[in-house]
Amino acid sequence: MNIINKVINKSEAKRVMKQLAPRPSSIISSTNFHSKYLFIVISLLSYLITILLTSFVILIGQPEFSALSIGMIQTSLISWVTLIFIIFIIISYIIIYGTHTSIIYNRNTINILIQLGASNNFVISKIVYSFTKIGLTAGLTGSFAGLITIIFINPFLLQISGLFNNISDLVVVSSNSVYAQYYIFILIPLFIIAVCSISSYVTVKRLVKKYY
Amino acid sequence: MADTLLSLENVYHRYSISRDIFNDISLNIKEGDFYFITGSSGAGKTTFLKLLSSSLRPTSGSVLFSGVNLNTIPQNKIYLIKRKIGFVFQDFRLLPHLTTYENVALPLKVQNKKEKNYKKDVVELLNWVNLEHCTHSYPNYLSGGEQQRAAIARAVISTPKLILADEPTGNVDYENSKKILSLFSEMNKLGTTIIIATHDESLISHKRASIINIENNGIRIRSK
Repeated sequence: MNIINKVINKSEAKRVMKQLAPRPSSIISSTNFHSKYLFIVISLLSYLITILLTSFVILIGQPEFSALSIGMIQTSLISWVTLIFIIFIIISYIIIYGTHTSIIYNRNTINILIQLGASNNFVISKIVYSFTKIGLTAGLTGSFAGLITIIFINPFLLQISGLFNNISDLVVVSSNSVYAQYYIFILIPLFIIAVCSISSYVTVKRLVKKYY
Repeated sequence: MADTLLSLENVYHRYSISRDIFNDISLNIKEGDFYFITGSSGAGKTTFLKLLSSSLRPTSGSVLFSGVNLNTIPQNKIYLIKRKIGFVFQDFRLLPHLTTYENVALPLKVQNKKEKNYKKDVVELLNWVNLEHCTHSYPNYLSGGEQQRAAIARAVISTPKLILADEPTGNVDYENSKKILSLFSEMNKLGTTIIIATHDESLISHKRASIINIENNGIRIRSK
């Protein structure tokens, strides 16, 4: 009976403690306007990269593509790579701008944190984490939406463009490219996370060193 | 005989060529001391606290905290000193998007301490400052006195050696001023050094403590 009472008391104490001490929220506020704006823009860019990369993967799998001259293949390769590179540069620029805005928006919070004994690394990690989270969610959303678009729309587009003579070719090409599509689905969010975290880290480190 | 906690040696500070704030001041503050800093508006009370809290470096001279020269400590290591000092601001400076509990726990959180290790301490401290009913409340829903008590709880949660308070009763009524002073007195009895900048004469009259008066770019100490 004594043991039962002890267990009940312990669980009651835990319940009271849980009520008194709620789950902590984010120290650096990320529920502001610019994080939602960043999420939408990066999702769209991630969607664009997915569409571009997947269509490129499908295209290089075509016998018609192999039949092209080397110059043509090189030109198209360079164009594609440049386009994707430019999109990553845009994402990086958006994140740098967002980091500046975040630091200005949260300057009072950062000042208080530093006064309370937060190290520069603590402040940097909190800000970089918020942008990495945006990169992860936006990257996954964009690439998933891109993948869905490719899977459902691309066969019809290819059929319309007359690249295939009959529906059996279409099925073969689609199944060949399906693994590459899955790789793209995984790789794009990873690249976007890397771009977001590196861009925000470099920016916030420079700014924190300069102002705090 | 208590050890020296803070030591100012020939401190000289100026904001611009035409504005000297301190001119060759020297002072020793021992562990467990209680000081009031007084002076007219603009005399340099806040600047003095900033020099003591390592938020500002003097133009010349040295400030020693537990024997460590704050002038020579690298900028990226200053946070180690700040963790040993609790600061109470006149305008409270609680983070509006965090609850009272989260605000009080903040100094421990920035030290990357695990919540399970300090949860109980924060709840006990909230009881000590009579804010147990405000645990979930956001600062905007607290009165001035409650916000200041939360700010005091935040300053003492990490058991600092020194507590600096800049006009802690500036935004609260007389009754709350007395409550706040009694909290500081209790902390002082436990061995914490307290330095309060104020121009509230009624506050000074309630506590027997040494007074540092800032005037004419210097200081004048009136022992208790």
